[in-house]
Amino acid sequence: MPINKNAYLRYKAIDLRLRSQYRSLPDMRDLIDACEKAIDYRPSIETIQKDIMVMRQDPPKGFAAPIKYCRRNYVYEYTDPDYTIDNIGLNDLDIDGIKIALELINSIGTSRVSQQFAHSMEKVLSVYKEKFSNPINKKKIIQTDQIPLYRGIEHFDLFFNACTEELPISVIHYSYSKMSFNAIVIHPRILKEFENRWYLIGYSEDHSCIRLFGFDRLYDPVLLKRKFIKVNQEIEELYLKDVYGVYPIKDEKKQSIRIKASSLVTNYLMAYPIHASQKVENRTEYGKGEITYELIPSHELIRLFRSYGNEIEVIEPKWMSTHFFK
Amino acid sequence: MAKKNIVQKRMIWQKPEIDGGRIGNNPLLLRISVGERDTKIDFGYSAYNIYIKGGWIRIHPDTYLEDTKTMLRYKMIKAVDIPIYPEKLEFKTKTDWQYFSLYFEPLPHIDLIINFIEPDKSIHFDNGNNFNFYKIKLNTIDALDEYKY
Repeated sequence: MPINKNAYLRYKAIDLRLRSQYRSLPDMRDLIDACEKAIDYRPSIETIQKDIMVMRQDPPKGFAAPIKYCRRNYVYEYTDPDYTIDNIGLNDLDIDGIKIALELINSIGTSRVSQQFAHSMEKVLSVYKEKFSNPINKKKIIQTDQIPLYRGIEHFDLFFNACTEELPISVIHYSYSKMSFNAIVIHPRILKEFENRWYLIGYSEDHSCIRLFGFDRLYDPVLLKRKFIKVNQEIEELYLKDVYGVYPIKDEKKQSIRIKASSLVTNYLMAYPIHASQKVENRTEYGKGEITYELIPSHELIRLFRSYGNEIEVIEPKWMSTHFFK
Repeated sequence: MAKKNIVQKRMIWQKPEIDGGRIGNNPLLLRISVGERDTKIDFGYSAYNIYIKGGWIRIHPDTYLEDTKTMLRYKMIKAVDIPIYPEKLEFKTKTDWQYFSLYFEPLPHIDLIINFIEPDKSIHFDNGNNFNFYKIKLNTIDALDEYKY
């Protein structure tokens, strides 16, 4: 049976009080006081009596705690002075739960999370492999995209801290298109992942607008002690809400995008919608459909449409149809 | 040996003004940061079109900074992501690029005009295209302060 967090905190408080060598053996009031400190409210006598009962039960329900009540002095004590609930291992259900979670995290790979988290996970995983390894079931069950470490991901923690603490950064940017370097100051707001690549969205002092920067193009970021510039949240949200991908087409606004799709693509997009605004209309007898989006057109959207070849036809906007699909 | 001045906070100049000018943008002096233990200068280099496979780069070990007023010199103490002579980094294509940093003895925490000199008279160094920058203006009022936890 799972133990709720407050109950576990009470068990810990009772355990700690019973093990205290520098204080007299606790009576019921002492145990209630100890629990009150741990959970910030005063539990009732009945709650503590139930807790003691649970603690006395054998695992997996309890902790097999050797708690004895002395009727003469009205105090509680451990009959085994070396006992502590900390020595009780995880039960089978706990271990199964951890195994599943760790397998999932291990599959996702540490390249997509912060170094700090990766380090913590490595510690847990090392214990997991040592203590809970199950030689019978070594087959990998969960398979996610595994991408090798790429340039810039090592700055994840710094960028994350800069966003949360609202600190501008000085950074060197290399533009692939211009083939040139620039030193810029960014006021970072959001970290975004798209197709396994990470991007930093923030206000660029040099460009005087919100910009998006691929981690791979940013070198040597330094946090700055400088007034943080915030911009309209709606502009930031454009990058999150109304764009498929990360690179909106310059000067284009949010608009209706309508495609005609074969039954194959219609079925596929119905199963895996690419945006919350997606609507499928006018389905024909043979499964073809018209699909609409309310989006700011992006390079990634056009790339996706093109990947379907003749299976789709862009109806609206006309310029997209003319420029990219004719 | 350069004069010792202890700078408590790290000061940063992005794309500092260079009065002495320099032909072309290669390497591009991107950033100078002055701390209490060193002065760090960051450069960006884009491989040249004129060379087969983009050419190569390296830095002379005797490269130094020079205060134009006092003529005090500040020696290079470390090079990161660029080889020191006689080694060299050979580019593989004409579209390669390299970001690198050079560390020098710490500059004082005052307004300065400095020269960046990669010596070209050394008999061991036969390349005329040395990385020299003259009259780099470092005014403390223009500096950004690094944030430290």
